[in-house]
Amino acid sequence: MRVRAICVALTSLMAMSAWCAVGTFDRACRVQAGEPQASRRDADWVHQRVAAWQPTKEERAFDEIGWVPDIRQAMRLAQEHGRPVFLFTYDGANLACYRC
Amino acid sequence: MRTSSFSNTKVIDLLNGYFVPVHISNDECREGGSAPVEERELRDRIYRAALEARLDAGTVCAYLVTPEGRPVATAPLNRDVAADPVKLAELMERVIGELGVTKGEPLVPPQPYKGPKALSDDSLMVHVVTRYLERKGDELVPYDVSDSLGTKQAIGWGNLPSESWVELSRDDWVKLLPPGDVAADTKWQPDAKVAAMVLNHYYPPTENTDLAKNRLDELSLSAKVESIDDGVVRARFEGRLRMKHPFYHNDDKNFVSADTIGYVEFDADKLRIRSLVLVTDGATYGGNDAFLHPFGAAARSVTPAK
Repeated sequence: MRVRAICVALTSLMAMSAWCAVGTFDRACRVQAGEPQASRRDADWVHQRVAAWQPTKEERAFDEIGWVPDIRQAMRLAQEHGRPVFLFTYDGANLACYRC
Repeated sequence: MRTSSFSNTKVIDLLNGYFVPVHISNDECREGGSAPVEERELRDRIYRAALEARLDAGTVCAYLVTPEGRPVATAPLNRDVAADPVKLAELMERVIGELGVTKGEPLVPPQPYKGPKALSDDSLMVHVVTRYLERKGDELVPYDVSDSLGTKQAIGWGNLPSESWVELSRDDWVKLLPPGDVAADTKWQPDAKVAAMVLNHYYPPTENTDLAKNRLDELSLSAKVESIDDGVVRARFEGRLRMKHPFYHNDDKNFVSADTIGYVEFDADKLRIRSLVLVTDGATYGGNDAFLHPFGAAARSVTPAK
């Protein structure tokens, strides 16, 4: 019951504008905050975490797209090869940050 | 889009085989942004042309444009096509058919983004990954979305990690090191402003990525030498962070709370930092203490992109 109430509160808070956030927080509601106490937080522990949290190959599928560096080059290549341009405009610092 | 359409094999194949894919950030096109004037003008021209052609358009939007520069289809994010790989692929195939495009190889080889180019040879480039975590048994682990990535069901802020790159100039990174001579028992407080340059990126994936909207309410970082071996010093960092970070661009009550632990290895003469790693321990993000979402942040020094 408590978890459900929390989910409702969270959804209300987060659903103000972006529909795509709901999935994240519904899922996040299912876990409790806080981490189990580890016996030692040594260098190995730190490096294991760094490795475990890096993006996986599946999470980097975006990088399998042959993105052209800028629109000018894209338009030039489009004319040279008779291909349409697929231009994606987005908000955010760069697409590595913007991951919805 | 990254979680759904841009992770979908069919969409990726269509983009590589039939289109010239390109993306541009609206932020970079704003006043003071890094996009060249010519790029802004081209983006604006395509946007206006789409509207004149009575196509839906928006700030987060895919434009399918003929080689002559005429938009023939669009997929704004707030409609039901852009983030639905099946519908987006159908739209792309329709345009391919109408324009009579034949399949070819990618015009630019796909390659992972390796971060910005360093401004200086003696800079320290730090890569920061953050992601939401979920409990599996006694562990907090990254979400397992392998079954849903590339589908419409994958849409969500928590389904991919976010990445940032922070360049610390020599004048910056040297302030993370002890100010005087280094001995086996040296303890010090690394410069908080320089630490903040990295720790400001300690927030999970959110729509808001504007660091200016962060408010650091607490930042403590202490360091202690653990070993000196053949002129190489290894020291441990421990710290704590509490930072207001709105989820969207409007103000809200969401805070980051995290302990951080890390290690730095540097030459005893302080001519260079060999490696720097910092991870969160028990990091949470949310609006109040009853409602906190576990996440992890990992910062590590990397070789700058060439």
